[in-house]
Amino acid sequence: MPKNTDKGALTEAVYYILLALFEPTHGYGIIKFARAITNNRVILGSGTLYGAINTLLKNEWISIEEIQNDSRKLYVITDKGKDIVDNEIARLKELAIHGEGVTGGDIYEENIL
Amino acid sequence: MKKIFCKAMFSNFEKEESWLNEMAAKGYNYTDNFIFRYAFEEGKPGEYIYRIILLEKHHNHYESHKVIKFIEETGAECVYATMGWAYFRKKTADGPFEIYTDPSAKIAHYKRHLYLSIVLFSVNAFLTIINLNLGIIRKSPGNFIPAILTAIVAIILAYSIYLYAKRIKELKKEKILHG
Repeated sequence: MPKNTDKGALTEAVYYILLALFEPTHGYGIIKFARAITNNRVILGSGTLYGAINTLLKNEWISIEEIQNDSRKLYVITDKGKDIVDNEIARLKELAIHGEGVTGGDIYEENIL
Repeated sequence: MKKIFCKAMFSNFEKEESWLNEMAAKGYNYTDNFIFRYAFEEGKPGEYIYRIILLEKHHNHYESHKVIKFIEETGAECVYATMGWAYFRKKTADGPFEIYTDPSAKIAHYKRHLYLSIVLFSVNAFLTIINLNLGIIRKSPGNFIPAILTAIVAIILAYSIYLYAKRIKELKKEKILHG
């Protein structure tokens, strides 16, 4: 996982993992969540996800909620993780405002809606 | 199910992986291999996508068990593991199948291949030099054949090192732009 979290920015993978874990979810659930919410744009590889989850557990941004009967682990976001997500959303909004301020266009409405 | 066997040799895991996928596209599903002898089971053409990874530890290490189990929980199947290698497959119908999707994890994976190739290259280059010395100094012509063989292997591995280093360089550039 890239270490650019030091600068405040999260990678897309980390951002969607944290969002997925607002509901306790296992690994495959995280991959499915990221695919569904981004319309198949963000596809997390299981090896990438494994590394990211271990780093997030160490940082205490997520924790293990429970271990299911089939020994699969359910992960969940912690309060610390939720703060990180709030900060990231604020940062992303700022980026969008700066971008639109310069280009003058509302990209979201033009291209997506 | 009918089994078929093929002899093949690869110095680059991406070439091995594409070969397994070409075989799977024809309906021959890889099951295991013993050194250079690959075993396939006859099945439906294009049913599986194969991916090969080089683990950080030996495949029987506790840490490797955890990685393999995690990948299997995401709908893939570990078909075979040997030394530090793990061969996975996933049903094509289940969508795209990649194990490493971010530049950092890809770089770390290529680096493991790079280091392994460097170690194997060094061993072969060392054996070439020893055999050449024995052949020339001790005038023992019998040492030239092993010298030539290890030199060929060393050249192939040097090319493989070049390819991995090139990949890592490209990914590092991508990382600067896209994080």
